[in-house]
Amino acid sequence: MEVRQQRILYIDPARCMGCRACETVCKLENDLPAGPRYTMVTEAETGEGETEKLNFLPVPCQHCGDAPCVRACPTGALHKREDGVVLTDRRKCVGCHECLWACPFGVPQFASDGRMSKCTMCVHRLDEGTLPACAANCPAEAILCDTVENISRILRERYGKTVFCGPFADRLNGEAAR
Amino acid sequence: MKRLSFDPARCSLCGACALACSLSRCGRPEPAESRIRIECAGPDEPLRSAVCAHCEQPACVSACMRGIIEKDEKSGLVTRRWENCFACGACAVYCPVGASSQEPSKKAFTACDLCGGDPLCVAVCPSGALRFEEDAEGSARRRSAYAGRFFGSGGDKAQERPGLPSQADWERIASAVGGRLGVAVDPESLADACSRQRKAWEEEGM
Amino acid sequence: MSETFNDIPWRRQEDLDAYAVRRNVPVWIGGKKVIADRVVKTCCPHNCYDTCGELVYVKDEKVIKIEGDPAHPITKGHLCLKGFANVQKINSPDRVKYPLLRTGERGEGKFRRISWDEAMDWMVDKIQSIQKTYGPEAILEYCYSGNREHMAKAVAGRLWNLMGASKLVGSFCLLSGVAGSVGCVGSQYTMDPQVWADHAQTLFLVGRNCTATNPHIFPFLYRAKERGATIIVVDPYATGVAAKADIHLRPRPGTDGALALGMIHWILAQGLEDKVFIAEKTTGFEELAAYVKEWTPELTERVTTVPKEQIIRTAEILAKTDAMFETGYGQQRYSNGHQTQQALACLAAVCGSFGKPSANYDCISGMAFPGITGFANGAAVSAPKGADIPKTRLVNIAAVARAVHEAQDPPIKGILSYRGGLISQQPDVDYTIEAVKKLDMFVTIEQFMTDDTDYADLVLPACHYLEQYGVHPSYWHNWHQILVPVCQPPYECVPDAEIFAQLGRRLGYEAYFPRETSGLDWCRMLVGEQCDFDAIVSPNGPARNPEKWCPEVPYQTFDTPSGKFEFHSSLLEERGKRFAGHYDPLPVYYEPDESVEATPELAKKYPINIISQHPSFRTHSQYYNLPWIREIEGEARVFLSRKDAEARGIRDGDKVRIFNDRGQLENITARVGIRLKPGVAEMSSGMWVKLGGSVNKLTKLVPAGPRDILAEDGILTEYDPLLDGNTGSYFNTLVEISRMEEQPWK
Repeated sequence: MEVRQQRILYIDPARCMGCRACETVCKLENDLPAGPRYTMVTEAETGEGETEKLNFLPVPCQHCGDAPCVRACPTGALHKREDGVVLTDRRKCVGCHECLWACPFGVPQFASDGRMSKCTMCVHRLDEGTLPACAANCPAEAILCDTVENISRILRERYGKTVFCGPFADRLNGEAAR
Repeated sequence: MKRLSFDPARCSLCGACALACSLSRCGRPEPAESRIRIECAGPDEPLRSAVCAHCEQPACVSACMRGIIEKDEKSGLVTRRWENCFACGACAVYCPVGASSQEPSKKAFTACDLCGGDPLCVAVCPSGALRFEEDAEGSARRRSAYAGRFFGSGGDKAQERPGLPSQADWERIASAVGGRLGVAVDPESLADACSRQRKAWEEEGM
Repeated sequence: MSETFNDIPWRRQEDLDAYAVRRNVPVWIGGKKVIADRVVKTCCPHNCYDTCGELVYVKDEKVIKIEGDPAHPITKGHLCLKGFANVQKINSPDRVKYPLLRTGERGEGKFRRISWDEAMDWMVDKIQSIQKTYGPEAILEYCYSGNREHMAKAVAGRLWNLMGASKLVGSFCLLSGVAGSVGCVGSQYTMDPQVWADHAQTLFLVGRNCTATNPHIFPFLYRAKERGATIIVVDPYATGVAAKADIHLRPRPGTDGALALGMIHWILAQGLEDKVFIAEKTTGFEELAAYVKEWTPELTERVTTVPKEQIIRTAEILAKTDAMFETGYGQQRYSNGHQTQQALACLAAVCGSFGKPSANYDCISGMAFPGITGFANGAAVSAPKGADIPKTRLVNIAAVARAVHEAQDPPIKGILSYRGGLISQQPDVDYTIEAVKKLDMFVTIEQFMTDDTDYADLVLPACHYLEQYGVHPSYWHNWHQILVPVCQPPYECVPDAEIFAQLGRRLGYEAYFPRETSGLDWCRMLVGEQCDFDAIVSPNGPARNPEKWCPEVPYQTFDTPSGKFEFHSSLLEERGKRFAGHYDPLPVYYEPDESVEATPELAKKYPINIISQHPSFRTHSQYYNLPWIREIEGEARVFLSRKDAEARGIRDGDKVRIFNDRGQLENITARVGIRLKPGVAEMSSGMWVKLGGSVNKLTKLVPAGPRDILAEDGILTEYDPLLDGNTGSYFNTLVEISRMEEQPWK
């Protein structure tokens, strides 16, 4: 399958308002204790004076097309499924942490048994035709799970009709976008 | 447990980590004697650190026929009684990250012991590429750094490889190494060793 | 006890099974498929705007999963982080499992397990001996919103009424705003967000951190915004919703009322007011117009620190467009809170923002107060027909500690506390602890060993809200669902209503607490005839509240004495003739009790105004002890501006000390950034004193609102919750912050 047809998890940062419901719905869905965080809402402060702004970005696994973690894993425990989901075969993991050093997003987590576990894009739900738990629950509808093409269409529908107020609006349009 | 965390995007390839490690082990700035190496498989490949990861399922423990490598359940460390090693090389061969190194002047293989909890390589790393931290800390820091880049709030501009250490950096590194070893270390010689190292790496295509 | 747990009526398994929406439902838990015995529909009764519809999966009488109910028209199948954490909470090994009797000193936290029988006997003995020595009014309940459901409170109310105990009245959350608002509009209503989302041209949100307390407003805000609506947020703190706003006004804490007056001045000066609305539907406009003459943009800027250009721009947008006013609670948690809300209501009226689908005014719905307004009839439960109910003194919840310290004839000697954190949530922690220590009896009904239980004589194991019945109308939207128990309670936990019913029977009121009355029967009695009860009990529901109480587009008329919106409030004026306090018929601005302007001498010593928002991690002090929540929230933090931090040598991540004359907090992590303007700091409320430090160690017991209840030591003979206040004025608190000398190694 071509990368553009594969599923990704996309965050619409113009909508995420930092409620962190995705963090606990993920814990519940995946039966995780405190420790491994498959997703984490990060905050970034931008601007000065009048343009000061708080931004939120949940960081689940990006399920990259050419995933650095898959490349870095020395035991073949990480692999990419045909539909794009990056999965871990925990039986093969030796807990060497190479994936964490390789991942620029800091996604790989380590459970109490020391082996890597991470966001699976809720494959068990995907395979039954439902969305990942975080995307299905997001109160702000900020988490999208679809192909790149479809997500692009959804975002153009959201923002195309008014001024462009996507995530980079401040930088692209300056004050005009606000 | 705290581990050596390596961020390839922040590494300037200065080689200070390997120099410091080798100095602490054989008294000479000789990267071949170091227990940590920065590696690269090819020009477009990412950097990686070859250093004992203290794996949860350590291949070296299974491979060692003398049973002198052990995974300490309490501390999480992989420990070696290398005085009893007869250098069969199995641990080095089967190590998934290529971490084992030969003990200087001994016929034995060893690996990083995290300097007993205060790794010298982390103390000298001038760009913050090497850190000694919990997994959760490292993960959260990377995630936040990504958000910072995403929204352009600066902070972490990790797209370009950072520059090499300055003169002041080398003085700081030399005093850190010297302080740990209890001897005076000349910053110039460290910088020289570093540039020799870089030349060798460039020839290898890193 | 003579009654065993198993034959309490509501625990019949067939009753629980009858609530199943579906049975034998496959559900994924941690990548494994599990067959849940049943799925039950209920709603969340926390003190939150949203009152989400929930679907709860139960297996072997344990809650294994919670989802949002997709059939709920407002919350649409989405829950917040706390909603899911309920699975961890209800199954927590740390729950209070059995009745515990104190063996050590108060505060030591030493207990021994006793049986329910012994616990009941102990309580009956204590209550009767206090009644005998001091009289029935020496007993007081303490109850707030841990489970904001009303049924058990009404059942408890029946017991207090029969006993003639002192009655707890008021709310330390919002009533000062309600007083200001009711004074102008009469009965209050809210309009469903579905209505304004498609019509409003401007959204005006004041003192409302929607990310934490109202996340389900966001789809509606975005629908409006993507249609082109302007979002304006007024909040000293940079909240999640402020981050999505087109304009964010950041007034000095406690000056929102001045801001509104400044905007009214500008609107009138430019002739932009809604002249038709003012002429037809209001009274007292001339008095207001005369008063706001002094509130020039220059004066407003000086008082609020908001640049006058922003004030003018916002005022013009509000006046020229159809503006929806969504006002929250933050702006009225100051000693001048009622005035602030009154000024905001007047601003809405000047803009004509009443009675239209595109432009209306939301403060807090009257639906939140059963027995006062709305369809629920609290008196039907709490004041049974034929009973001899003595008139007793009233104790205001915003001054409970003061009442315990000061009450005479009789003194308050016994408190039965449930659904509320007395120590961590009341202002001035140390003063509250001193009050608790004076009691002869302090009983808490709790799910966990909290700050309160440490000082309790008797701790009773409480049920989680999913284990009991309840009635909880939302105070934001107009949809209703009855809470039903989804599973059997674990250990020896007993539903609150059952505890009071059994206590009542043991105190000799068998006739008023029949054993066969189930929680559902109490709920039916509370809801009354106004709506179809069966339509709101799982598997049915939710249903819309009766139109009579919750009109689709409210404020077509006003039920003030004049039948119009009153800029010059006759209700407040009349009330002011009878009670001391700040009953001004006009929204005349005055400074909060403690601020850099009001108390300049104090501000030299303590120059930073600390506010305490309600974070998304908790509802008040609940959930703070759960591992999932602690992991997300991290250590106790205080946010402060770069300028204030620099002046004190504080860097981001440093440990700091926050202090004033009332108390201090140590080892709090400083977060330095843009969230606050200089002179303001923020530390979220609800942290436990014993787990990191409650911000209420610093706050002051000065209830906000028109009536000066401290003049009466919080002990009242008459009280009108809609016109008297009182809110805890948590946010007018001045502190100083300094860097700790010892910093942890980094």
